[in-house]
Amino acid sequence: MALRVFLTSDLHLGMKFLEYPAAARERLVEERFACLERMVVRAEAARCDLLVVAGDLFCRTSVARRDIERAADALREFQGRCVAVLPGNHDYLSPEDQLWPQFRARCGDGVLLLDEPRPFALAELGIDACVYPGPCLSIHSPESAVGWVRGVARDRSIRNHIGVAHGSLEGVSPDFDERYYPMTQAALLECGLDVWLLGHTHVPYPERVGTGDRIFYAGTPAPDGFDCRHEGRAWVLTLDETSPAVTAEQVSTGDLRFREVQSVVHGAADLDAVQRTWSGDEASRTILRLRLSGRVTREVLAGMGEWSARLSAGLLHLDLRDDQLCEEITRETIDREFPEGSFPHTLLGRLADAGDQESLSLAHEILKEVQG
Amino acid sequence: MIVTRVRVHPFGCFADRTLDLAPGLNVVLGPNEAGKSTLFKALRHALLVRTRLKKPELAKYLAPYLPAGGGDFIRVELDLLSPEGRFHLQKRWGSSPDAELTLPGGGVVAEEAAIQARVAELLPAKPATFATMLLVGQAELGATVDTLRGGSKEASDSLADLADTLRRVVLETGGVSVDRFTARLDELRNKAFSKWDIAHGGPERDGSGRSRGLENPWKNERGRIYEAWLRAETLRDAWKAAVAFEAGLDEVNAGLREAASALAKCESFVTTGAAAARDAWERRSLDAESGRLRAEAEQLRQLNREWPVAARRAEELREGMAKSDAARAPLTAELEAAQRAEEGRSLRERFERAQKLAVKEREARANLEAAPRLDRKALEEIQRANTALERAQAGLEAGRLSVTIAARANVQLVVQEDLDPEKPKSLEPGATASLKAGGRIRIQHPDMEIEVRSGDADFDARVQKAAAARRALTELLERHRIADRAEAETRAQAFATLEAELAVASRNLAEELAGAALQELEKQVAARGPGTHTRATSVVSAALARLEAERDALAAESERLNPRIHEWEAAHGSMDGLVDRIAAALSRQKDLQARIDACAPLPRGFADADTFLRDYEAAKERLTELKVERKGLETRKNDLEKPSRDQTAEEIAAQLKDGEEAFQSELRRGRALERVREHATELLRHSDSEIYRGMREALESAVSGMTGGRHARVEMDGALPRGLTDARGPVVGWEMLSAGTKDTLALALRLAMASYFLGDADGFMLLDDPLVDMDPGRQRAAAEALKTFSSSRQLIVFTCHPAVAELLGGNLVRLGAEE
Repeated sequence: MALRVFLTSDLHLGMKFLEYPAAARERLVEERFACLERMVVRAEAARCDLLVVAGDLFCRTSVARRDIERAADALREFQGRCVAVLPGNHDYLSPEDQLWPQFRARCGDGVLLLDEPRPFALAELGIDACVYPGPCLSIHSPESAVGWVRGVARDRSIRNHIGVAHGSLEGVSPDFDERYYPMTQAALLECGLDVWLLGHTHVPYPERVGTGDRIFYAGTPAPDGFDCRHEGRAWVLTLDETSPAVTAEQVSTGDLRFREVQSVVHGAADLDAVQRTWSGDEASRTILRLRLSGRVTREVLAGMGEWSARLSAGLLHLDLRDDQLCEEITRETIDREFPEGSFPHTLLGRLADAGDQESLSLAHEILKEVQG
Repeated sequence: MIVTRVRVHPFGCFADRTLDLAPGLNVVLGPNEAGKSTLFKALRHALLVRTRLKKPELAKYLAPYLPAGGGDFIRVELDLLSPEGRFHLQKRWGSSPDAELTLPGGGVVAEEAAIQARVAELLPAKPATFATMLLVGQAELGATVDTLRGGSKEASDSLADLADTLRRVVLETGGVSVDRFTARLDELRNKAFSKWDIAHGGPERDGSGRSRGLENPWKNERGRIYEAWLRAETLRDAWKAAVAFEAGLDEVNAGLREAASALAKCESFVTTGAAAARDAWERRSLDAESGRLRAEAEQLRQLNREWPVAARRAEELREGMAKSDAARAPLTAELEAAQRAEEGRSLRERFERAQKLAVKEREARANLEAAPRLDRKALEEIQRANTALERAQAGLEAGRLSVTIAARANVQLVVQEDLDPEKPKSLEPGATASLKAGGRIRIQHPDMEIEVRSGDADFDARVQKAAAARRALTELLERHRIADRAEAETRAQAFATLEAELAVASRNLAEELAGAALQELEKQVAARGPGTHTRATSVVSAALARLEAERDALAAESERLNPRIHEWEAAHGSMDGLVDRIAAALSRQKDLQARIDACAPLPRGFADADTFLRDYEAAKERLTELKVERKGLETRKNDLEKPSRDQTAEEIAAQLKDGEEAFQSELRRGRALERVREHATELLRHSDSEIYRGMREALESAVSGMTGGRHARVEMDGALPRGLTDARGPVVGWEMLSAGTKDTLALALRLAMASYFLGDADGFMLLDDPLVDMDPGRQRAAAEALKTFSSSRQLIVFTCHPAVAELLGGNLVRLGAEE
């Protein structure tokens, strides 16, 4: 019988998103718990036997107790055979911290905490598999946490041998200073396990599934910033009974989106287009960082406040950066508005000749402001 | 604003006088001393002079204008009309100084500073400029240029105001005020850059040069750039703190892990070794006792091995010494016998040697006695005789002859050389014979006799002497029966030899006998009897020495060994006693081992209780230390985590990125503002050269009009004319102009300047007899210019010339001579 595994990691429960306004912040914080609950349902729907959280379920070791308990409660609901949780580098294992004791206390036997570098045979849980975890013991480490696996003899009576680790992988997850439990594909494959389930980088790996894949990064299931370009992903992996191949299916798990968009605006039509793009249901779940640049008429510029208010109303949050958007000042504008030879005309003309649009726009703005 | 009424009551020569003025041109006509200048001053007083004068000001502003008829105060009232409505201004100087401004709505401003501020607003220029430019006294017109060029503060300020005014006229269009623009620019710049050092790209330092960064930020007047920088730096600081916190946490966690591991190991050792440690003290004591016993038993066993060997050796030594002692007497006797035998042999050998020497002495004596005696004296006598002969013969031979005979046939000759015996000589044919003699050669042949003589006359005497010498010698030789001198010498030598041999033999014998007689020696030999055979003394002596050395060695060893044996005997009695003690020690050791075996076993790896206890105690101490270390690390971790940290370094890094972007955005906008400012400043600087163009043109137009086209161009130095050009071309400098032309130019300049100050707004200008020094033609032209000027502004001209008043027209106000 094939073993089906739901792989996730890097949920970072407890993130506070302090840089966002209260409403968006609340949604972002809440979404991560909701995402966990959805993943449990999704894993059950995918008939997964094992749900693996490959590190960083929590964003730090000092998470509020209610958040720990809520996470534990969500995972306890999993109706498959086992949930295995690995302490990652953000929620690393530390005897002095209450995170994992509280988590374990709340979960009971329903959740397996992979808190030791030793094989965890899952036979008692009805799974013909042995898990080889590399729990993190600090935020940073120059050494992989799964170095011990290579020296351990495999129990050949167990069919599936699964490595679970958290850290960077050479060539996949940037770690130039080698501070995040650095691993290499060669070293992992040399361990001879059937599959490696990894966490740390928020981008799923492999990008495209192939038949020989044995190393999988879950990626974050719920985006937490503008550097996350996907909508939140997880893997459903099938370890076939008769074949060594791992069948992988990527699933979408996130609800909220972070999008960073740059748009050059020439007129009201462009703004309307932006408005149209960011309306509707998806927009209401989107934190949009919108960088506007370009030259528009004074009227368009005057209407920007109203326009951004309309746009913002349809979004979860709008981070508008329009300091590069200026009033378009042309020679015609200058000639039309100021008599030739006058100070305003001469000044604006000089700035226009210098091609200094930003200064030109600014000078024009001030001149209009002081114009009686 | 224009002036509609002036009332002075009192002021100078006026007790109470009211003048009603109209918009446009007003001409106040009065003869000299009518009070025109007083009115001029009264107007200036009302507008510009405060009522509460300080002491030095009293002489200037009060004393000259106190009523001629007596009084201690002066007072002026003005009715002013502005677009806002009618103002009434009243001022009193001297006693009870007082000021009051009634506003168009009826409100009254009584506070003088407020009154002055309100009046300044109503004036077309700043008060000082107004006084300089728009209130032109009689003496001031001609001196206009010189005064303005004079560099007084008032003049400078007025010219600056004029420049500003002209600039506004030239540059401001469409309601854009350069001043407002630059003010707004400065305001925006200040809002952007306040507390930011543009040149150094960082916060401004304070007066003492201290940096005002994050640790000591400016509190007030912070510009947008500084604010953005501060936000970014605050985030950077937070980020660094978060990174440091995480690094610290890494370190503490690593320390805690190590401490936990060491603690567990140490605790395990202490726990599992507790029983062993408890018994280890007894075990250590037992171990020590056991060790001591083991050493004692080993010592006894060693003694047990050594004692019999030593005893046997002592016996051997005793036996050896006894044997040595026994062998000593025979050897000593043998040595004595050998010594005696050796003495007998020696005596006998001496006797034998003496015997032989006695024989030799006898033989030598016999030989001497048997030899022919020729002693030394006899020999010397012979030798003298022989010498005498040889000398005689030498004398003979001194006449040497030499004869050679060559035979042609066999001949038989007898020859004699000197006195030698004759000798036969045979010669064969062809043979020769050579004869030599000292003095005579005699050759006898049967057929003849030849004698050859030398020529010496004493030869015969000599021959006789030689013959006597020969005879003496011959006699001596015969006496001793010897043949010649050689034989004598040989015989004498042989005799001397025998004598010497005898002497030697005698001496040897005497030495051997050493004073004794040979017979005495013989008796001693006989007395000793025949010798016996013995070993040599040296051999016997060496054997005896070896025997004694061996004996000494045995004795020495015995002396060393015996005390030890005696000691052992004293300690243990006997060897049996020693064996008993060994058995007792072994037995005690067995008991101890049983007690040791009953103790809790030492952990693996420890051979003895001492080592274990040392390690165990060290582990207990280490355990305490580790607990303290862990506690310290836990405290450090608590301290680290004490400040609430809601965000990770990664989260703050994202915010820092935004903060930096915002800062860069503000900086970019600020720089854009700076560029605008730079362009505006540059533009205004360049524009200054243009701003006077309009005024020059207005001035030229006025001058041309007033001089009937004679002077069409005015050369300007900034706001002031430098000279005129006339139709003939070259510039005529200001100093070279006539007084009338200067007045004309000054009036034109005043009007041009006033035009700029007044602009299109309501305003007024006071001129005190501006045409007084002009010729009639210029007066007409100037009057036209004044009319033109007053067409849109109020102009109040004071004059004492009715013709001028007529020329000007306008609202005529007459002042009586009595006033």
